[in-house]
Amino acid sequence: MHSLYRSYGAVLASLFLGLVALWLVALIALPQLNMIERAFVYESRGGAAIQSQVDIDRIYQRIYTIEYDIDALRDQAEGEVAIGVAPGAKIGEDNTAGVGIAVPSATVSSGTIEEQIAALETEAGGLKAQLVDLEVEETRLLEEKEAASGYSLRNFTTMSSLHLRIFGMTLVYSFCVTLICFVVCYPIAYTVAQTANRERAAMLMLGLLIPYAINELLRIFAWTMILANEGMLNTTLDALGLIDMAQGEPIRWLASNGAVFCVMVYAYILFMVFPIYNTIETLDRNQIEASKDLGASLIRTHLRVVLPYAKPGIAVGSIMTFMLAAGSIAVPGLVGPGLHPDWFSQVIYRNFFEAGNWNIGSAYSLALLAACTGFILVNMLVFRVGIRDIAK
Amino acid sequence: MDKQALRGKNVELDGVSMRFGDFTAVQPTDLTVNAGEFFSILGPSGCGKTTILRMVSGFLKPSTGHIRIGGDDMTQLGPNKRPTALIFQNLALFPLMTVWENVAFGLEARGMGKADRRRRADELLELVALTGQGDKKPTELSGGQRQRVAVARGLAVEPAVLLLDEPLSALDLKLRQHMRAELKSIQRKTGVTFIYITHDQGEALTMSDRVAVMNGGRVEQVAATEDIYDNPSTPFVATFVGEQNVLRGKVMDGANGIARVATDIGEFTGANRDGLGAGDDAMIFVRPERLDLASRSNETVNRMRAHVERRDLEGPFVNVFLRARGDLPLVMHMTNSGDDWRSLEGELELGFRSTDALVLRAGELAGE
Repeated sequence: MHSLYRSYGAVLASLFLGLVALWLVALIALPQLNMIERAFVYESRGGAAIQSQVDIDRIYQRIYTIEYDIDALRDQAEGEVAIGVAPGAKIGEDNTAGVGIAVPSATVSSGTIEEQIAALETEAGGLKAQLVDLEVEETRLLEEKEAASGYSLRNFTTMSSLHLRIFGMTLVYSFCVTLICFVVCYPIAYTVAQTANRERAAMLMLGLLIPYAINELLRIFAWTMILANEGMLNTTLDALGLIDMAQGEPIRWLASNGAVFCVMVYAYILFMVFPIYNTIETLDRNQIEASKDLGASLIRTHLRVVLPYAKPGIAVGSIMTFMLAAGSIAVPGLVGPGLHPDWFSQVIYRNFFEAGNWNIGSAYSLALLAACTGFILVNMLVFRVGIRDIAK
Repeated sequence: MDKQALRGKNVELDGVSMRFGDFTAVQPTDLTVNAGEFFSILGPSGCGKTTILRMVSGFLKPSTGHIRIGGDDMTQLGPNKRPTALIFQNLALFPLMTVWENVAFGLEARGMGKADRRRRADELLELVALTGQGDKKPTELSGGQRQRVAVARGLAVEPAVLLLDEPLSALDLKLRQHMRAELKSIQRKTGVTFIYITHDQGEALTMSDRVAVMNGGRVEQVAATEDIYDNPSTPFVATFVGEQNVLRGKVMDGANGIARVATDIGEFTGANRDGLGAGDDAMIFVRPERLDLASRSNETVNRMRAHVERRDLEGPFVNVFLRARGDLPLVMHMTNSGDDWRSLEGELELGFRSTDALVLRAGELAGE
């Protein structure tokens, strides 16, 4: 802090600190706190109360229509006297025959104008009487709704068994993705890190990096092109004669766990490769040679020398991959378009942006965050690494 | 420690060479290291000594030739299949294992049970004077202790040959000297063949039974320690091991094992080791401790005059740096046995006995 002031002077240093504080408060702390608060606020959407409000609105609308019709009929009666237009015109036809409202048929098709007016006035009278009951009911329902809202755990406890299943499966799937990612990345990271030729290692790393210059969505779409029914993979298999597309035998690659895992591994491979690469790179080659020299097999050398050394990198890579996989929305959305079992992130998305229920969305997000944090802690425990090792 | 289990074997290099692309790291070499011997390979960096070590240990496959250990051809075997153990320059202890796990790693790889491993590791730690340190991590030990852990780890697999790649280079002088004695004594106790790589002649001379001096991928001389110092066979060996005064000239007469050589600062005679004849380019080598004030010698040959430039007191002896005619640098060691060195100033007359001078065919010197 002091060195900052010494290096940049009071004005600049204060500006830096002020901006950092603003960033911490406005962009991190407040939104997060808001989300957490929402998660614990149950907002009863009051389905019955809203339904009764809709009913009341409809009745009011009907009453206004009736009053308008009556006025119109009276005008007509006066006009008829003056101009002598033939009676019997159809009026007042409307579509208010609402569902679940006890409104008699609104069509007035016969009788004299006076009769029609009388019938309408009768109907309006009935509706007004209904209105009184409904408004009492509405007040009661609204009070009920108010009583149900407020701080509670209901956002979590009301999670349906389907959502709970999706939640659990998302964690299982994310773990699978992390595991596959590790199995794929460890040999790559090891090979690159232990390549004596620095230039070649740089080229390999560049080769891994270049796909990441492309937008993530495009990278995912590229996979859908490969895996689609008429995609490259099926076309190739068809060309090889393994399947017959003309006979309608394309293999449905998309919308399967395999496809989603495959694309996720591809999408997050770097987050696993780099941490492992960074740790293995600092491993003294002599240790590997010493292990071999002492008679250890390749597998033992890896189990006893390389893997223990790479633990912090593996922990970091696993944490990142798991978090990214658990929070991924683009991959399951695009690769498993509606056919693959939902990812929990998709459920959260729908709560926020389709159901408009931010509180439930927040609660689900918080649940996912808690699960991920739990994963991190378990991970650190299993790998016996501390925060400091990970920061390295 | 079961001494029988650790009997050393001999190592034979038969026409072994190593090429990396266009670069020849080791010229075709024949070399035999006797069983149970402390053998050093001495040479400047890049001379190919580490390459030879890596070929013997199995990390490198020779471009040509065969390597036999105890008579068995090892050329096609990997490092984990050879009866050798390598002590790395940086020791390469496993930092995440305890000391005893390090020592017992080779046994673990051979599938020995944990209790047996622990017992064996403790025995080996006792051998290298680290009793009771087994549960520490290598980082908790001092440099010399780590050294000994590495040696114990190497010995645990009961190798016939222990290969050491300059393992003492990271230690400070005092500890290095101490470890030399320890290594020597461990070698004696176990009877394992030691092949020791170093660029430090002091290490090679103090520990070894025999020394090979290498230069430019070629073994220049293989000889017992004292012969390397007293009877170098090439100008490189003469100047790489110990200090030398070098006089260049042409042979006038080489009869009877004595060569008479004409140089810029006069005529000198010395042992004609290479059998040179009149007209050959020659170099005369005289050790600084064999150079003396002419006044203390009865001989009248091999005299030269030189100017004192500097006197450095080393403690037990004094280095006197002189310059003869033609800007020729000379150095003379005088024992610090009195005050006589303090009066050495100006122009002096120096001399040496013909038997203390060695005449060799002119060639490449060390450090050129």
